[in-house]
Amino acid sequence: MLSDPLAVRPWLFKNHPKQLALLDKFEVELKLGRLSGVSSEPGAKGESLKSIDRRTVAFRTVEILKTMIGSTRWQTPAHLVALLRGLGRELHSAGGFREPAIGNVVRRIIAAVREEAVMEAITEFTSDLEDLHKNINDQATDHIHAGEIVLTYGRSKTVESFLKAAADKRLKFTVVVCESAPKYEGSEMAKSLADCGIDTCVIPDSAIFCIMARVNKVLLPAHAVLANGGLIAPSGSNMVVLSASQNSVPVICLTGMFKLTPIFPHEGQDTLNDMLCPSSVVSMHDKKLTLNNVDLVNPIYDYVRPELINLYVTNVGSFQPSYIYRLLAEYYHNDDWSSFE
Amino acid sequence: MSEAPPAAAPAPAGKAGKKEKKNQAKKKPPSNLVIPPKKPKLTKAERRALQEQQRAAKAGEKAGGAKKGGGEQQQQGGQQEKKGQQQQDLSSSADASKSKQNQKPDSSETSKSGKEEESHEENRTLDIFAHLSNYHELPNPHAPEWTSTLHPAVIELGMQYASGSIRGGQARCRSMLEVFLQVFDDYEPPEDTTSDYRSHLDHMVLKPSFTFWTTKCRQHCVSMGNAFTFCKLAVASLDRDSTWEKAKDILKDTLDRYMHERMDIANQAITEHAMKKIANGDVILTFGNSHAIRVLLTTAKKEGLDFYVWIADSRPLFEGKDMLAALEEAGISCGYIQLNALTYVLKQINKVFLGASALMSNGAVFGRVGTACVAMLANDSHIPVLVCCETYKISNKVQLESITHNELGNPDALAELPEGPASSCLSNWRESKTLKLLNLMYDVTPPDFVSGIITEVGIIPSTSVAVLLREMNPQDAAY
Repeated sequence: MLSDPLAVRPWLFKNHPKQLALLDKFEVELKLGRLSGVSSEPGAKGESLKSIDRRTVAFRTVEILKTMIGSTRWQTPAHLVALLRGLGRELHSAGGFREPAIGNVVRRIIAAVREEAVMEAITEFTSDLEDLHKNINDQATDHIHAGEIVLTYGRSKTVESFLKAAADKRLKFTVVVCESAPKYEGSEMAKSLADCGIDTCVIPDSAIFCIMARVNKVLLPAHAVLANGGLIAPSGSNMVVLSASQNSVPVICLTGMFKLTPIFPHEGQDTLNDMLCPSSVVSMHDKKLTLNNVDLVNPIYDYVRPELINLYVTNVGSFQPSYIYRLLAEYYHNDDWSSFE
Repeated sequence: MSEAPPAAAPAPAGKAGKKEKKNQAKKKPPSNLVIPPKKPKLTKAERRALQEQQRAAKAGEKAGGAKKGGGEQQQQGGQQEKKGQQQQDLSSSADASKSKQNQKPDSSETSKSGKEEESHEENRTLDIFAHLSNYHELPNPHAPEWTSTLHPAVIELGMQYASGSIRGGQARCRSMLEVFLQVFDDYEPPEDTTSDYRSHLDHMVLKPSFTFWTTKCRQHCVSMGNAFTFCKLAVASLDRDSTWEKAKDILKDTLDRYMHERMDIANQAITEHAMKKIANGDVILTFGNSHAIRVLLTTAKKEGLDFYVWIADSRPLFEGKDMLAALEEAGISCGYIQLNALTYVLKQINKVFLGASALMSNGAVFGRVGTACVAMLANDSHIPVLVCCETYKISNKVQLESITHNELGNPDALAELPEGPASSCLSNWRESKTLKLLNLMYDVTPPDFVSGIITEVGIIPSTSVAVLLREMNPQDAAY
């Protein structure tokens, strides 16, 4: 019987080939990066950038776990925990390291197994995800008031819908969007906000420090929220946040609770980070440059220290970074904190 | 910047008195500095009367003594400047009516066209930048109003300024002086021997050229302003009675020496000072493409130092690519990043060298936009930030943040992306009423982020810029 997480794949192969096929399909998608916006498939890049919603990957994970729990023959809760851990490992190595939400979903469901309330937890989690934007947006008027200049960096579904919700409340404010080189997603964000009638101004990343002297609030998206209250956010965010703290501008991070990740930033800027293709940093066709002996670096994320963040606005309320550890204890079991590596 | 506004002349009368008083209290400047005789404290009315008197006396006065031995030239710059400013103030009040008449048609024209541009460009940037003049398109180089009054070289240079093909504080300043040299060659003094060629040269050649560049092409930088003031002083201190041929040689020699001493020699001295701060195995960070830094790094490499350079760069100018090309050619191993990746590479870096467009007298560094971000991040990680800047770029103004005084670049530069996924998403941004693009050219790095400023006179803390300014122009200091 299944007791070793490493034995999950052979166990599924032997007893549940259909479920294994589902798992394989999901893993292929993860490996190709289709769900995390770093797709390596030619031609798919533009598409995935525009339509990426980080909740998708969480939904898909819940789905696959639900199938596994519901239709495989595990016998004791201990078996189930072993199965889920095994699945966590599988997903992590398939590309889950790019998307901490996957591990978080698995951890949360393991915690529910321990409390013997798995199915309720899955339903609750799914509905949490569905109402995520609504619950965050309800707090818009608590944070944005009329006449403010709000700065945001790059593109994020959560920030975008938060600002649009604030505009729907007939608030008149200005949004400054940093274009976030080298992907320039900020331009798309600005276009989308301006199309909704919000006063929007695009600035290059170099002007962040200049403009910060006039900004009232900074809104940032999250890739992951760490156990120490630190933040993993799009690369360049650290510059934004540091400029804000130099000018005493409050920094608010908008995030769903599924991004709460029980790891500490022991690897500094390498924590949960990854590198992108350098071709967007400098064109390989540039005639002036030989690029024979030049290093090009293009990280996806920045780690931001907790003391530089003023508030996390989540779907279950607003918390200061120092409170994050308490939330972690509520959501995950102590024994499940370890990584799925 | 260099043109002292006439309106400001009478106002500081009281201040000037105070300044004199404090001057006495301060330590004595070095003996080789020439200090003008101290003036008694005067009331406003007394000062006016004195001005009248001086003006009368000045007609006969000769501006000799300004062109002494080459060695003293530098130190005398300060005195000349002061003298010139007095002259300028006086002549501007004396010729007030005249110059008003002269300028009226021109200025009304410019303000009209400015308004047109503004209405066209209305609301294209945030309200908080409304005080900065909008970016305007290239002037028409064939417009008769320019071709009839300006030297062709002046117009050509103006076009280069406007298009950005000549960029950077030093390059712009040097090309301005070089064009002046060319213009002096072609200049013919008025036939009428009773009129003063000096004021003719100033009003008919220097001023209109500078005005054309700064109002029609691109806002001038501090280095240009300082050099222009110097030019005007050099002209004003020529011998009124000498022939133009003779005066021309003196004038050209003066400008040549300015370029040589304040730029070339200064560059060398800065390189020497800065090189002492580079050790083998250093990992150096720089931003954009500063002339002084490029010279420093390539020279250090030639001297056999072994170091690595990270070049941070940013939209929309991507000036760092030129730096990268220059360093690649010099055989320096380098890395190239955009600003977003700076946090990531920061832990490898142990020294930051930055260039500047100007040094404000409160120690703030006025530089290419993005400089402040780099200095801030480095300072946050306790990495020393060294700014290389020649003393001719020191401004006597102060600036606390980047918005009060700045230059707006072409907003369309932000709408085009250098290939990639979002290529055309902002291309028709002007159609949207709510969408604005902001392209600032400069930013101000607060003095706290800067560990040291490397000038040709040595490495100083940013708090000492005011002291340096005062030492160099003892009469100009505000206190």
